[in-house]
Formats: sequence, C-alpha cells, structure tokens
Amino acid sequence: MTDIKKYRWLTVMLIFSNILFFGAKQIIRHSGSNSYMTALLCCVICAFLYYSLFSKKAVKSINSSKKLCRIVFILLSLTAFVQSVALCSYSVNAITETFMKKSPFPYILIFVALPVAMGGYYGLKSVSRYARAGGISILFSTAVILAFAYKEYNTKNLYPLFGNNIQSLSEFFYGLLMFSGIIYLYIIMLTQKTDFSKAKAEAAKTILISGAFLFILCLCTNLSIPYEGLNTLSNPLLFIASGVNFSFLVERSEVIVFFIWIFTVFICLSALLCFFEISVRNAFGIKNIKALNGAFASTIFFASLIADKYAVFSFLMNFSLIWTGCISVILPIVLNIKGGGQK
Amino acid sequence: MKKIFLMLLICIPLSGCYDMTEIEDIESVFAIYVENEGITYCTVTPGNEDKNYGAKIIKTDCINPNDGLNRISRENGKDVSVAHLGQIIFSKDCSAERIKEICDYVLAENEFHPKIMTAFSDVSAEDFINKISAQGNEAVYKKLKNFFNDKYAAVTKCSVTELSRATNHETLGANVPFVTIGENNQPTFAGLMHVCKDRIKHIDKSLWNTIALLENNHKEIYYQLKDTSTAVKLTGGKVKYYKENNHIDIYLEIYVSDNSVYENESRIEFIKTKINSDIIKILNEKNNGYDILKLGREMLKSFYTSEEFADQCKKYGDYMKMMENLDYNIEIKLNGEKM
Repeated sequence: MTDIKKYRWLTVMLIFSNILFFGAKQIIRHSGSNSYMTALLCCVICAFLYYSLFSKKAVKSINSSKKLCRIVFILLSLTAFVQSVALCSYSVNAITETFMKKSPFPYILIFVALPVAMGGYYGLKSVSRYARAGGISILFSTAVILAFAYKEYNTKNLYPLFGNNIQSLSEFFYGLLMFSGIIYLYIIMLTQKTDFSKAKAEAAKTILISGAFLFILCLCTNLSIPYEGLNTLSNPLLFIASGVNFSFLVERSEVIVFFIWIFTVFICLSALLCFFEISVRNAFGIKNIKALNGAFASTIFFASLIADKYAVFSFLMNFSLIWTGCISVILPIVLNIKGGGQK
Repeated sequence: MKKIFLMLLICIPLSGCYDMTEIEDIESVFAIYVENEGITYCTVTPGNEDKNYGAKIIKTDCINPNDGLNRISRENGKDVSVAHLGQIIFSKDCSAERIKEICDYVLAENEFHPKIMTAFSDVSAEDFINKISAQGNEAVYKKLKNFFNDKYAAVTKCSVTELSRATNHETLGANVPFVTIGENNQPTFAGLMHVCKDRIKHIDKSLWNTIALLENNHKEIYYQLKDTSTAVKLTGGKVKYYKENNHIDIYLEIYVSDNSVYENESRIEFIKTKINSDIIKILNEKNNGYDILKLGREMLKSFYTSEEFADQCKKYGDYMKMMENLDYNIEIKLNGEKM
C-alpha cells in the first residue's frame, strides 16, 4: 500500500499555484478589506466539502466497472491536460509581461517545457520529492517576503471591517476552484490502493497548509493596501514584495517572486504530466507511457503559443479552473452514488 | 536521458547570449522631473568608473514618459532602463490631471517600480539635481534616495502608488513632500503638497511639523514647533469618530523635550495653545476638501461595510460635504514623565 503522505506537497503546490496566479487576486478584489475572513471561510467550506468526498464507495465503484473506470480516467487526463495548457500559457505570459518584456515568449516557454519532460522521465515519486523540497523552500521564501514587508502594514487599512457587502457567492465559488488540486490526491487514492481514511486525513492537511498560506497572503495584502486600491490589484505577492528591499542581496525583491513563480510552474507542470500519464494508463491500459512525454510537452508548448497569439490565456485559465473545480466536486459525488448503489 | 541532458546543456549557455545587452550599454534612469510642458530625465551608466556613474540630466519636451525614453535611447544608441527609477519630482505648477496621467502611466508599465518616491519642487530640474549632487562624495542617485528616506519618513515619503490612489479616489488624499533650495544652497523640505482627486493644496513649513507629529504616531522623533524653541513628540492619543452626529474627538498626549517647561504653568499653556491652533488650522482645510490628517481613515472604523460608509456620505450629499459638516473637539495633555 502506497503511503499517500509522500504526495502531500505535490497537491499543496498545485493549490499554491492556483492561489498565487489567480485565486488570491479574485478573492481580494471581490471581498475588499475583509478578504482574509472570506479566505478563512472558503478554507473551512472546502475542508468539509473535500473531506466528505473521500470514501470507500468511490474505490469500490471504480474497481467494479471497467467502463466507468475508463470514463473517469479520461476525464481526469483531460483535466490534467487542460490545466497544464492553461497554467503554461497564463504563467509564461504573466512572467513575460511582468519581468521580461523584451524576451520572446517561446524562448521562456522552453524553460517551462523542459522540466515537464524531465518530470515525465523520472516519474511521480521523484516529482513529489522535488515538490517537497521546492515547496518548503518556496513557502519559506514567501514567508520571508511577507515578514520583511512589515513596515508597509497598517491596521487602518483593515477597515471597513466587513469589506464589501456580500452580494453574491462568487468569492466562495473562487475559493472552491482554488482547492480543486485535491482531485489529484483523489487519483492517487483510486490508483495506488491507498486507504481512503488516510487519503481523507491528507486532504484535510493539504487544505490546512494551502489555506493558511491563502489566509496570510490575503491578510498581508489587506494590511498594506486601503480598500479603495484593491480593485486594481494584479498580483498580491508581487505588490507586497515591491515594498521590500534586501539591499544586501537584491535591490528589487520582485526577483524572488519571479523565482517562486517559475519554480512553482516547474513543479506543477511536472506533476500534471505525471497525473496525465497515470490517467491515460488507467483509461487505455497503455504500458509504454513514457513515449507520450514528448507529445504532451510539445502539445502544451504549441497550445500555449496559440493561446498567446490570440491572447486567450486569461479565458483558458478561467476555463481550466472552472473545469477542474467542477470535476473535483462532481466526479467524487458520482462515484459515491454509484458505489452506494452496489451491493 | 543523455539526449535530454544535452538539450538542457545547450539551452543554458544560450540564455546568456540571446538578446544580450552589456551593462555599459544601458542608460539607467534614476529620477525624472515632471513639468506640464515636458519631462527631464536624470540618468547614470552603471558600468561607468566615474564616481557619479556618468550622471546626466536630459531635458525633453515630451509629455508621455515613454516618448522621452525612446528619444534618449535613439539619441544615445543605448537601451534605457527604468527598473531602478527611484524618484519622480513634480514641478510645483503641475496640475492634478498631469500628476494622475504620469502616475497611471508608471503603474500600468510593469517595468517601473510601484514604490517610486515622489516629491514636489519649486526649483528647476537642473538646479534640483545639481544642488543635491553638490553635497558630499556619495553618488548622486544614492544621495537622492537617502534624501527621501530620512528620519521624518512619515511625512517625507509618498510612493507613486499612494499618489495614484489619491488622484483616483475621492476618499484618499496624499501628503507629498515639498522640496526647495534653502540657505547655503542646501535642498530642504519646505512643507508639503496635499494631493486629491482633482485638486492640490500647498501646506507651508509652519504646519509641517505638526502634521508630522500627528502622523508619526508613537515614534521616538521630536518635532520643532514653529516660532518656539520647543521640541515635542507624541507619546499617545486617541481619535474617535461618532457617526450618529458626524463628530470627531481628538485626544493627544505630548511630551516636551525641555523638562523645565513642566515647572512653568504659563509655558505649558502656551505650548498647548500653539499645538491646538495649528491642528485647528489644518483641520479647517477639510472645508475646502483637503483631509490632511486623513481623518477619513479613522471614520471608516465606525462602519462595517463600504456600502454603509457610502450611505453615510449620501446622507450629507457626498464625501466632501460630509467632511465639511464634520464637527470636532481637541484635547491636549502634556505628558510630564521624565525620560
């Protein structure tokens, strides 16, 4: 039986990338000066939701029907593919826009596509070890940036206490989408014959770690920007980092965010390729799966190029988040219902 | 596997060569001086062995910062970088629209630093930079940076992001330092400019220290009261807003550096009256739409949501009218504790 603990950081990094690139900004823009409270509420809702979806019934229903197993894994492989294309095009475009205006898009993309190939070659276990080491360093660097920006924090910016009136459930919807990375923990549970109770505990821990990051990031952003200025915010961590000056090391600490950004993309793309492989193997029973690596890497490379040419990266990111979010909730529910119906 | 490693090895050296620019070929802009009719750029060449890194002042008649940068690049045959631009100095005559235009442009371009410091000045760009560079041996761009990072940072600092917010939102004003060339040709802070959405107000040096005293909450900095020989610092205080009757209570605890003051009742009264009258002068600017002490932020504490605050503003007409109707009470206590 595989120890699911090994894959904790892999899922954390997938959620971290969602928060960093997209989710935190959306929650902060919608909620105003109380985004940290909304973030906390989202974490609690997601923890309950995903915790309840891990069950023995799902494993039972996958094992009982080959047809259902094939449909589930085709859907999951599609999810991994859609998410990697979106992540690749969105992040590379953001990096080009923010840090390297003069560098050509495909040139940066090579550095993103290569770790994908490497991840595919070494397999999920190596990628999860890389994610653990990289994830801890990335979260530590983020914590250092947030701590050193303390001079920018002003408690007066936390008012009005409850921010914008909650007129829609959109904040919670974004919160749900951000934590959709849990679906990959679900894949591990289904394929590697892991005890569902352990998987449940891991899901809770994963949400706890990534939720703590989301809460702290939202709180720090609220402390540094008055509510009037939150509407135009593009990247919270990047903005906070711009107020920090490690003059003994780097004049502009945004460069640290750049490294956090690019290494997160490395880890996530490698992980997504591995999950894509696992899903395709389970769906079609292909044994020599490594042959797919080159095709996968070049497909996301060209898909991202096309996305950049037609400037649809933002649409792709939205689509991928909604798709993954829906799959991560609907699929476990369907599997539970199916499993429950069998005697 | 070997093939993948070979690919990686080929890519790594390529990263250093592709689109390569030597540091000597970069003209780095470290300050810009904005006027209504044009922009002056202060540049250095990082690789230059000269003490001041070949600092140059380039005056242009360009309205848009990017046009000026392109012109400098074309004329010098070098790439122009604004990644280390540290200060934007506005001419005293700049209109609020011009300030908004420049701030919005800077923030829209990711290459600019969002924490660029801003200031106003009544001297010409050349004079301003030359006078600053005349002091000491330090490189000119470092002097300029240190000049805006002095101990009175609460009032002598305003980033381009804060200034942009002030020019875009009615409820946010920004206090921007005003710099002039004083006696002995030394650049000095001579008050501040309060910038709002569509208006600017110059506050002179006589009130500058009182604003600094109130803004620099609980910091160990003494401020010299104008027309007195007394240095004071804030040791405590409370500002409380009552939304029911649009009233604000200001209570301040002040410590005086000269201990002998505490033995003289009339001296204590004089200092209290002086601070009180200064605060009233500053507060009364609210009737002209200038919330210099940023009481609007204090008022927000009484409202649970931004909608509730907007409703309160509507009750009086708009935010400015509500500020105009704001009633206040000031209480000052001289804290007699010995250091």
